[in-house]
Amino acid sequence: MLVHKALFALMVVLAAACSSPSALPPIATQAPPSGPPAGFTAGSYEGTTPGGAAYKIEAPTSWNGTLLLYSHGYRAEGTANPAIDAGDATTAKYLLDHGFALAGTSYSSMGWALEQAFKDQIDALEVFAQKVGKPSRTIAWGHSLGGIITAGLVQLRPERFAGALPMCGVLAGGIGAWDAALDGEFVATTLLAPAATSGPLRSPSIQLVKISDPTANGAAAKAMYAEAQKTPAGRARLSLAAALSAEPGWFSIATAEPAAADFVSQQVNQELWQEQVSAPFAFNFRAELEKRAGGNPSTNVGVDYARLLDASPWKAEVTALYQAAGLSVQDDLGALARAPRISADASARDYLKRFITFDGNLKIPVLTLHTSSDGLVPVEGEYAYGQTVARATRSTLLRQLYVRRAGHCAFTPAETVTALDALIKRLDTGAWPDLAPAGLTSSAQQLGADYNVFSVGGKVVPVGAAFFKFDPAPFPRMFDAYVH
Amino acid sequence: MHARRALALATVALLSIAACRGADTPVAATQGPIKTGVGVEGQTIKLAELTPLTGSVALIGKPLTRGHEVYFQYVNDVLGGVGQKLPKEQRFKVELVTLDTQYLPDVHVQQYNAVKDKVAAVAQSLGTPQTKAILNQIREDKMLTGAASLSADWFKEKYVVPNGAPYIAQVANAIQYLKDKNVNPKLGIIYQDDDYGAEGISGIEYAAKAVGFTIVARASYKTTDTEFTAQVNTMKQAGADHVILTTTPTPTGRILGAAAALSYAPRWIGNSPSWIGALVGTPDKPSPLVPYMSQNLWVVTDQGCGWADTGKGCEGSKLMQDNLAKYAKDQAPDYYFSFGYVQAMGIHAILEKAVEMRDLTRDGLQKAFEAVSTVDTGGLRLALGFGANCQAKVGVTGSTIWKVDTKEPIALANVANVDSKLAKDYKYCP
Repeated sequence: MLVHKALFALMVVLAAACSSPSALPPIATQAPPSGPPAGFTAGSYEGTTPGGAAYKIEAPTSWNGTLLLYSHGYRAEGTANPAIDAGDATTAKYLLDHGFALAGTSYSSMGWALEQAFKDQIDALEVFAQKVGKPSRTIAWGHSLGGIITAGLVQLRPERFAGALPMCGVLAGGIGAWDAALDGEFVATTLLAPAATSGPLRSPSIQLVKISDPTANGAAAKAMYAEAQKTPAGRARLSLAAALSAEPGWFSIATAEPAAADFVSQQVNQELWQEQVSAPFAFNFRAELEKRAGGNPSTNVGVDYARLLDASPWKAEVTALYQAAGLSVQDDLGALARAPRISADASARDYLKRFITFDGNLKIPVLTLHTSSDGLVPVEGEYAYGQTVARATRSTLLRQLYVRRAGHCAFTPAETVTALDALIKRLDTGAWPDLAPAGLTSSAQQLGADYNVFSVGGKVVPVGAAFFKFDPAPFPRMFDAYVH
Repeated sequence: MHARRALALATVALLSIAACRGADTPVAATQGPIKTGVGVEGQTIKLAELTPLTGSVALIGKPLTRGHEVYFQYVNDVLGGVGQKLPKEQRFKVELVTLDTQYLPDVHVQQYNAVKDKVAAVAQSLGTPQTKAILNQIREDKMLTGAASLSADWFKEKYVVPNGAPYIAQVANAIQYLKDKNVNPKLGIIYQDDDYGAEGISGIEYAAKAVGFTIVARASYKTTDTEFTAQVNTMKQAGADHVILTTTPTPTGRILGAAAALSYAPRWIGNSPSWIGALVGTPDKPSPLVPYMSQNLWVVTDQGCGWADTGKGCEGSKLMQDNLAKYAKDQAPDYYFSFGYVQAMGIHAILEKAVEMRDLTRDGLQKAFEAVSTVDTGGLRLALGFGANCQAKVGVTGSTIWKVDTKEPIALANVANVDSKLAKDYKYCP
């Protein structure tokens, strides 16, 4: 199965940001309360867990006793699946040089591999203990799908971890994330596909769920988005689909963020997310999820799209584009209200609840990190996670950090290290350090030019740290253990 | 200085102590163990904050919640927790559980249900229709609930803690002020189409009838509306020259913008939720409506010291600002910050009384609420009225009328304090 190149560019985190630092910056990371076990065995290890996942372990000779267990992002079936123990080489080297040990696995399955990953990652901890020694503490961290796996690991196995750093994680949980994706699919196909009698928009083959030919389905959806973008009416409807599934109006780090009232540019950016990133996930990779869940886990029965639009930060854009196209948004909302809805298969939904729905009942400190404009894993998922943790009355254990940037997992090594450093301070002192964005940005900048970089179009370019105060909008399809 | 009004109520010595002590109804204190119930874990009391953190009314919810956070941080850090008569290590820390309601009644209900079995009380329930949506459950759960809303209906409720003079009193005081100034207005009202707006209607109908003024126009809006030209035109065409705004800040801004565009300039008189300092913009980017607002808008709030008043009789304002500087440097001066801060003082007074009565269960908190008759706020507001019956809770019904003045820290300057018989005489209780 082929994965779109742009998707890879977004999902492979920082892989190209690998320039080696010439000298280590003077940031101090703290020693844990107790150091490494006596007689530990430093070294690099690769092999296979009992469950069949490839693992990678690195323990420096100056190990400080802390192990960082890394969970990687989504990998489509048919692509390479190596074990990795960090998101990028620059950050990995920094951490090893500062005395941290690293571990991670490939997972023994691909796609929405949460069920397997939860076991594989714990297996990696056992292998680490055998090969290197027992850590004095373990911190879970990971990107994207690895972010939901990280948050899931500390929900399911809190006794194995001291803290967690889910980055760009699917923190709305499985049900919420895939329901919101279904909304985007549903709105786009309901409003766009019936409008054409021929050409790419006339796509009776586009399936929202129970997808029989995922590759063809993804391609048809991609064509639907591209075609719609050619007309004012299509762009208005795309903006509605984007607003209802929380697609942001800024696509790439290579371009400036559109101004607040620049609705035309915002929609162009949203369409890029829809066509290049969401289309393969929603219309193609959903099939992999259905296969493992034993049916369709998603539903939009009873969803009031007019109400979702009222709550969307993109409502003004939608209103403006409908006006420009001479269309009535009320008419389209009426069409959506009348359109037949999609029901979930109960057992498949139950599978996705188990892998995983968050209960918010944190037992250990968790720090999250997200970019402000992430069209694959919307930042609004952080809102869902924050509210779920609040409902469990565990907010004192959670802090959420934001970077003002377009892109999925588009963090610099400096931002990543700074966030990790803040979490370690929390673990060492029992109190959250000052997390004011200006201070974090300054700390990240002080790490130096080698760490304040990002890969743009295959080239490593300087990128300044950009922590900022941000309050994400409500996640459109909240789903958690307390309300369901 | 209008702060002197507060002197009548505040014999403030050490505010940090006075703030946590209700005027005492004698209570037999025992020295047995303190009974605890839901939401008290060890030496931590968990309190829910049900408030809009997203959507247009987050403009109110965020600073109001910040007021709670700052006040309770002061309680935890400086006072060592709740229970001033207990040894320090036995005092109770307060932990706030903050949930976003989006200012939507059904979300409010959802959030209440999610957290009701984990908190001792609700320190803040923002919004009149939102709080009414959980009222039956509040009664069933015996959940003491601080209303961040000035509905007159709260005085009748056993478990709802009011936070000052109601919207009806604000309207009545404003109308009495016009009467006293020999104005004979043609009144209009633009109001939110819900229980909050209904209180504006009750106020204008009651007060206009009592003083013989004419209401020439009424127009409502829904909380999801974004366009207000029709409502403004209704006022203009009816010739309304004094218009009550029972609104929230975002509609207020849009209404005034539409009116300015139509060259319509009545005297606008806003209930307290109509206002937020952000309406004037920032010093480097002021709203173009500032001259219009300065000329034409009054805002009516509970009576109390202005932000800049920190002298005698306004010691509460001084302490609040010291705490703000210590715990929330990034919080700009804001009316709703102080509203929340005062509300937290009221909740704190009840918690102190409950510890004194050695009962932190839901029943114990309700009894403590009845046992606290007034809460001295150090001049920040006229004393809060608590107590065992409706009339006691009505307390003081005075208002301050403000005009927009960007030279002031919260962009409001005192026009008058009005404590009218008209506002007092409204039949708040059965």
